[in-house]
Amino acid sequence: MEKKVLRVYLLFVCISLSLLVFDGFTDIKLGNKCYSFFSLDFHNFFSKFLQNNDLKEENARLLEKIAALSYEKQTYNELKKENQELKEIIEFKFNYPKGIIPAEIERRTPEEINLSYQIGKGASEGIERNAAVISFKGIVGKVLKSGKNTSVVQTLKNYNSAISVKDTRSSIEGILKWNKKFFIEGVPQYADLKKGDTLVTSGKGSVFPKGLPVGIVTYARKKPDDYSLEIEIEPFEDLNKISVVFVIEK
Amino acid sequence: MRIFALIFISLLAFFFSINIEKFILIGNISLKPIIILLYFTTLYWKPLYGLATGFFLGFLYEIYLPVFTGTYPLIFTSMAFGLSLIEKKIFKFRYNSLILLFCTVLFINLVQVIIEVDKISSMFYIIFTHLIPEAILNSAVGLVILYFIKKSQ
Repeated sequence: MEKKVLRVYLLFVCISLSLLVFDGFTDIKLGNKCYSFFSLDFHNFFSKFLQNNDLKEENARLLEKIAALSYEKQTYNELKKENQELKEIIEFKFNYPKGIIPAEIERRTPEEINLSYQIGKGASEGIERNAAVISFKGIVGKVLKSGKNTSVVQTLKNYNSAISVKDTRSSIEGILKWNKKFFIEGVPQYADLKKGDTLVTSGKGSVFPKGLPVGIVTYARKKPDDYSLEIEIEPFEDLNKISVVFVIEK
Repeated sequence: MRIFALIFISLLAFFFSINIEKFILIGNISLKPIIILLYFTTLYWKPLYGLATGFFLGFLYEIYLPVFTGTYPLIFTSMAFGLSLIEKKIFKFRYNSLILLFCTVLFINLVQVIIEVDKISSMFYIIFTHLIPEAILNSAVGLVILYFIKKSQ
């Protein structure tokens, strides 16, 4: 046992002496690494721990602030959008030659067939029955019923709707109707009406004034067993998406 | 399992000795956990373990405090070897055997002072104000450890 101890001791002494001899080759960086590994600065450790608690509190405060700012941003965006809409309404109202009354759509019938709106203005604001209703892009319909403070608008998407329209290019006239899609009736086969033509109101009838934009021709073909053209149109305004309409004063 | 325990205790002793000022420091004297560990490992466990621990801790101490690389492994290993030589010649379970611990701490500290201090004149001052009180403190701690060792026997 003692011999073993002696041998091990001699081995360690040899290594130690070798280290002493090769002192110049020792990598000090290794010592620094070892130092940083073992020499934990407890003050720093505890201060970091305490700092961690402070950071948690600060984090919670900041999260609350973020939530408040996020809400504010949403409100701001809503107000911005509303402001933009109001600007457009005012601009539209001033640019339009006739007197128009802007109104917000309060309710709309959920089904696609015979789509109608309830608007937030009525007879007290000067809205009368059969007054034309338009939007920024084109015609929407007419006032079907006028209450004191609310009115019902019958849109173009109605079986009973019939509007006299005119092609801006060839001045051909026809009747715009709706039966699950918009089409024009009463246009003879020889009439010059092509796909892509723009249609406006002709002014005939007592409801819509002349020249209001209606839509664009998407399909025009001769009917095989008839003397008229089969014409389909796409209105300028998407009637399912609008939120504000304008009632033209009579 | 005991080897792992020894490695763990060695690392703990090393950790305490390099951070000693943050734990136990009376005036300018402090505990020497490495020396106490080596003393008890060599005398009361296995001299071979004492040698290995001495070399390992010396090497660690060396890369932590590089003076002349290889000095501390040599000192600690020699200390363990010296203790292993006189292991059977002393009554190690008697309290007066702790005089050996006193001498060991004093010797190791003296070697440290010789290595680190340049002026001989200040060395004597350090011996009386620093080395002897430190040896007494470490012997006192050794006394407590020996008491528990005796109790566990």
